[in-house]
Parts: sequence; structure tokens; C-alpha cells
Amino acid sequence: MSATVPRRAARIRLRRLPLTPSLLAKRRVQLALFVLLVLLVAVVATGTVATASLYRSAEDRYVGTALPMRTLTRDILFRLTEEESAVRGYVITSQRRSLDPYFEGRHAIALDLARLRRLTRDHPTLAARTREVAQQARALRGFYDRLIVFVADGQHGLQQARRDVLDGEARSNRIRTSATRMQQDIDAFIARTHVAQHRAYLTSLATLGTAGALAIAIAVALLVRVPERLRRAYAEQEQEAQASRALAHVSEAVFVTDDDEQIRFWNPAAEQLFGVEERIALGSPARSVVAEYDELVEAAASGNRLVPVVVDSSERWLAPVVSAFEAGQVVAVRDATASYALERARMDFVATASHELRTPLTAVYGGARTLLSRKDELSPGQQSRLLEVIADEAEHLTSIVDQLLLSARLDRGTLRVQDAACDIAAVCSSVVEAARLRAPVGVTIALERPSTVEPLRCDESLIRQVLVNLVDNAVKYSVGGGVVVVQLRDEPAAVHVDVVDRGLGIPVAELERIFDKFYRLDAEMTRGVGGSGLGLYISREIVGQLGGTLTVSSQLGRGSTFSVTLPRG
Amino acid sequence: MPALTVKRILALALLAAAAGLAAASTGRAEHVTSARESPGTWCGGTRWRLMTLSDPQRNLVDMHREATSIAAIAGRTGPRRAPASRSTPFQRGVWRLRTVVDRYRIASNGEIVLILYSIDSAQYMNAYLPNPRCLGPRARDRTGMIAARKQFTSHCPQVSPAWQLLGVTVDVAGVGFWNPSRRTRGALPSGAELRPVTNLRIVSGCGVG
Repeated sequence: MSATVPRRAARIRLRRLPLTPSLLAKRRVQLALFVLLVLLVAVVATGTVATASLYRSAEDRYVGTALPMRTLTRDILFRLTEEESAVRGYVITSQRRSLDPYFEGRHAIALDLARLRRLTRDHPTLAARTREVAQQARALRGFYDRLIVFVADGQHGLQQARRDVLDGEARSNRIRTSATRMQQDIDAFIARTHVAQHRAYLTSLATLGTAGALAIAIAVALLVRVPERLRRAYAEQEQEAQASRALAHVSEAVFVTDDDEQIRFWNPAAEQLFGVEERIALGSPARSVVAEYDELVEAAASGNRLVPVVVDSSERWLAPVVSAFEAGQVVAVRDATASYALERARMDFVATASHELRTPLTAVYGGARTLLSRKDELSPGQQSRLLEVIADEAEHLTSIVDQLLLSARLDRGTLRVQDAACDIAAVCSSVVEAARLRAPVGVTIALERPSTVEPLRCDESLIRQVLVNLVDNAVKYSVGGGVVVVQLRDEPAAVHVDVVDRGLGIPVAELERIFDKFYRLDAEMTRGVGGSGLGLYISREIVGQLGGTLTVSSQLGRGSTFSVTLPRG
Repeated sequence: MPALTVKRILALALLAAAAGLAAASTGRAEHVTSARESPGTWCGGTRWRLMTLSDPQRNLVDMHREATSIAAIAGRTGPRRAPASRSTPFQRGVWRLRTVVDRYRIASNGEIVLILYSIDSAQYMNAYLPNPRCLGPRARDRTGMIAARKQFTSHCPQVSPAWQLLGVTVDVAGVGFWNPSRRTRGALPSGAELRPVTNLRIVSGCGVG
């Protein structure tokens, strides 16, 4: 079961966070930067492509294609002219030496045509023109070969060659025409390349300009807006951090829930109060972390009402305050367990004090009414007895009121402590003797003291008050009788007074609380033990103001020992 | 003029007339009809089967055409006596060359004789388009030989027993052959010939190109 909850909490944390304003701002900046990046990539790509395109078109236009094509075409024409001259010379002279330019031209033209074919491979028009020139060159060569063969054949062939030689004129003209067209095609190609180059230049310029302008606009916008937004964001963050730091140190448990009632903030006091770590609480539904979430919200809405919760098997009373804001609500929870206990103690005190005051008042009122109405019927002894009861109960009332006044002075810090020589042994004897007079039947009060006690400086009346309280307390809780011993021990550094009883004893859990104001061990008076709940509180405060300590040790059912230590000096 | 001389002249004249008649009849046969499919008696002879690629060793011939030139073929040393069988590497290959046909004529056995001329080396060499009627069913690459002859005769002027100037640039391929007679017109001194021609393509001339 316990392992399931963290897993569930982890799953809940993985859910997509809501689109908060800061997240929205972040997304916007990210989008702007992404667009800027895309534009920059476009600028770089366009620049690269444009450069390559311009280079290629220039290369095509001049270096790579056009100029070599022109040169080659001219070379072919030149070689053909040389060939023609050589063959004509051979026809005239029959000297084979005359054919040398023909052979050179034939080889050179073959190379020129091969190169032209390579250059015009990607240009269909020029390639077709190259094929046309090559075909005509082949035909012209065939014609020249025929003449050469005829000349070599002998006289008859020579005559035939001389008759035919002029036929070569038409063939030469055809190839020259083709070469001229080839030149025109090359010029057209150059013009097209120039147009393409210009278009590529303009397109690139437009693209680069547009992309660059957009990039600059975005960059400027970012430059203008982002720093301010960042400043605001940092300010908000700082504010939130300060709030978080402040909230981390407040004693109240504070947590923030969003519109989906998921926890978005969880301070250390909340960790301590609800026993749930921040890493688990954050992102989890409030109800899964704080079982009484609905009760807390309802209590806050309905008024200042306390909500009981059980944390680590102990009951706590929580006072919630809920403040709503645009994105959720802040829940501040104060642990009002102590206040609640004090309130209950006050209520108990009222009940107890009423009871404590009413009892002697009733006795006083009853005695006085009896004396008034039946004075003549009562014997002098009975009258005297009634007057004693009235006096005793009045004294009891006085002591209760004195305790209340003393408690008030202690609370206000107006109690005056006198520093004078104090005979603590005499005080102990006096208190024990007085107690013996009031002690109920079955309760024995003894005093154990050394023969001599070194003098002590203190406030005798206050220490007397303390010892009276302790002895009365011991007698009160010695229900059914027993021995109450007052032990006085004199040591060089301090004087110790222990009040030991064999009464009800005190549960260990209550040992410290018995010194709280208005706290009573038997608040419901199930054992018939009454009291104002102020005696031990007053005693510890007085001993503290005298510079001493008041401690208790007890075993339930076997009695208690209250120890007063008063230092010397 | 002595009587013997007159007789000799008459005899030569008669012989020439007979040869002319024979040649004329053969030339007509080339153009008139292809109905006479049975080989004539002129197709026989000791090297007839070599000349028509019908010899028993015809399968030794590597039909992949190897490019060469007349100068290269002329550079080959010919056998002392022309072999009657395919005993030399030259006879076992098909040789391809681009050259110019100087002259041509039809021989008495129906073969068309081409005198090839190398412009570069100024050398002549003979090549023979065999008579289709002399190609028996065993002739290897018979189709190629007939097609080569057809390519030539269909484009160029009519063949005749007399030599005709032509001056046509061709791509020609043929099987190597050693001719024992080295005194014929256009023959290489070694007697090397392309015989039979298995492939011919007119590059320029005869109305082509």
C-alpha cells in the first residue's frame, strides 16, 4: 500500500504541466528563435546555392563550356581548311608530303569532336549541332580520302581526282555553314546562361534580402522584447523564490494548489505537519496527499473552525486559511493543537474554578443562613462550629483567589522576589504542621530534616507558597490515605526539599504537562480530586524565579516525588 | 609479222574474248537474278573451302573482330608456301579495319574483289566478297558474308569484270587468308588478304554519308 502511493505520485508528476504564462513566454521565445534559425539556414543555403549557381553559370558561360566550344569549332574549321589545302595540293603535285597537314588535321579534328561531344553532352541543341558537324566532317573526309585514293591509283585516278576536286567546295561550304550555326548556338547558349545567371543573381538577392530582413526583424524584436521579458521573468522568479524562502521559514504549513487541485508548492512546515515529502507532494492531487483537504477548505470557507486530523497516530487540531488567486489557491494551515489544548484547559478551569468556588461559597452561605434563621435554636457550640466552617471556607476561597492573582502576576511578570535570609528548615516545619491540621483522616505527614541547616537567601513567603502547594498536592492525591514525607537535605551548593507521597502517581506521558497552566491530572474529577490546575504551574514559575528547579519523578499507582532545588548564593 | 606471232595474238584474242564472255555472263548473273543457287564449277578448288569459311577448321576462327590496319597486316611475315589449312594465327582471326576501297571488280568465280588502300601508309590490300552461290550450308557466318556483299552491291555502282575506281571509305572485317598468287593487282607482298569478308559498312561514299 505504501509502495503504491509514491508510484502513483510519480505518475501524476509526469503529467503535462499546464500552460502557465511563463511557459507560454518560453514557448514564444523558442518559436521565434526557431524561425530565426530557419531563416539563417535559408540565408546560408540560398547563399551557397546562389554562389554555386552563379559560379556554375559563369563556368558554363566562359571557362567550362562556351569558350572551349568556340575554340574547338574554330579549330575544326581551321583544320578542315588545312585539310582541303593539303588534299588539293596532293591532287596537284601527287607528292605525298603534301598530305602531312591532312593527317595532322584528321587527328586534331577527331580530338576536337570528341571534346565537343563531351562539352555538349548536357546541351541537347549543341549536341545535335556537334553531331551534324561531325557527320559533315566525316563526309568531307570521305571525299578527301576518295581524292587521295584516286591520286595514288595512277594517272586515270589522278584525272578523276582533278575532275572531282572542285566538288569539295560545296561540302566545305556545308560544314562551314554548320560551324557558323554552331557558333550562333554557342552565342545563344551564352545569352541564355547570362539570363540564367542574372535571374539566379536576382532570385538569390531577393531571397537573401527577404530572409535577412525577416531575420533582422526577429532579432531586433527579440533584442527589444526578450531582455525586458527576461527581467520580468527573473523578477517574478526572484519574487517567487523570496516568497518560497519566506514560506519555507514560516511555522504554518503552506501549500499551493492549481485549478486542477494539484499541489504546486509545499513548504517544509507542511512536510513536517502532514509527514509527506515535497518531492512526493508536488504534482500530486491535494486530496491524495492531505486526506482532510476538503474539510480544511470547507472549514476555512465557513469560518474560524478547527479541523481535527490524525498524523502519526496523534490527533492534531488544524486552523486553515484559504486564499484563492487566478491560478489556484493558497492553503495555510496552522497547528492549533496547543491553543486548542489551552482553550480546553481554560474551559476545564472555568468548570473547576466554578466548582472550587461554589463548594466553599455554598458552605459559607449555608452556615450564614443557618445562623441567621436558627440562631435561637442552636447551641453556642453549634454556632461556634458553624462560624469555624464559615471561616475555614472563606480562607479556602481566599487561597483560591490568591492563586489566581499570583498566577496573573506571574503571567505579567510583576511578581516581586525578595532576597533575604531565609530559614528553610523553619519554613518546612511550619508548612508540615499547618498541613497536618488540614490533613484528612488516614494521611500522615512527616518531616525529615537535618539538625542544622546553613542559612539560605531566598524569599521566604514564596518558598512557603511552593511547599504548601506541593504538600497539599501530595495530600490531595493520596486518595484513601498514606504517608506524605517532606525531606530536607542541606548540601554545600544547594538546599533540596523533596515532597514524597505514596498516592496515585502520574502517567509518564503526563509528567511534563502537569506543570502547564490549568492542567489537571484528573480533570473529570473521577477520583474526586479537585483543584484549580494552577498549583504546580505557580510552584515551577516561583522556583524558577528564585533561581532553582522543580522536577518530578513518579510511578503510576506508587506515588510521586516533587524535588525543589534552591542554590546557595 | 611471223606466223607464230599472229597465231599467238589470235590465241590470246580468243582467250580474252572467252574470258570477257565469261566475265560478262557472271556480271549479269549478279544483277539479274538470284535463282541460280547451285554453286558453279568455278566455286571448287583446293582453297575454296578456306575462301568461303567452309573448311573443316572453320570453327577455329575467332569471330571477334580485332581492329587493325593494312600496315599492321602488311607487317606480318607470310608463310613461304600458302597453307591449305588454317595453320597460322592470321587465318584464325577476323580482322577489322577502316580503309578506302580504291577499286573493285567481279572475278570469274563470282567473288567481288576489293582493292583496299591505306591513306596513312599508302599500302594496298585485297579483300573478297564471296559469291553467295558458292557458300554451302556448312559455311560459317554465311549470313554475315551475304549481308556484307549486299551492303556493297546495293549502294555502289554495278560491279563489272573490269576494275572500277571507287574511293569509298568503309569499315570492313574479314578472315585472314594467304593467297599463293601474289602478283594480282592490289596484293600485299606477303599475300595476306581478307577472304572472305564477313562484314562491311560504308562510312562515306556510294551515296552514304
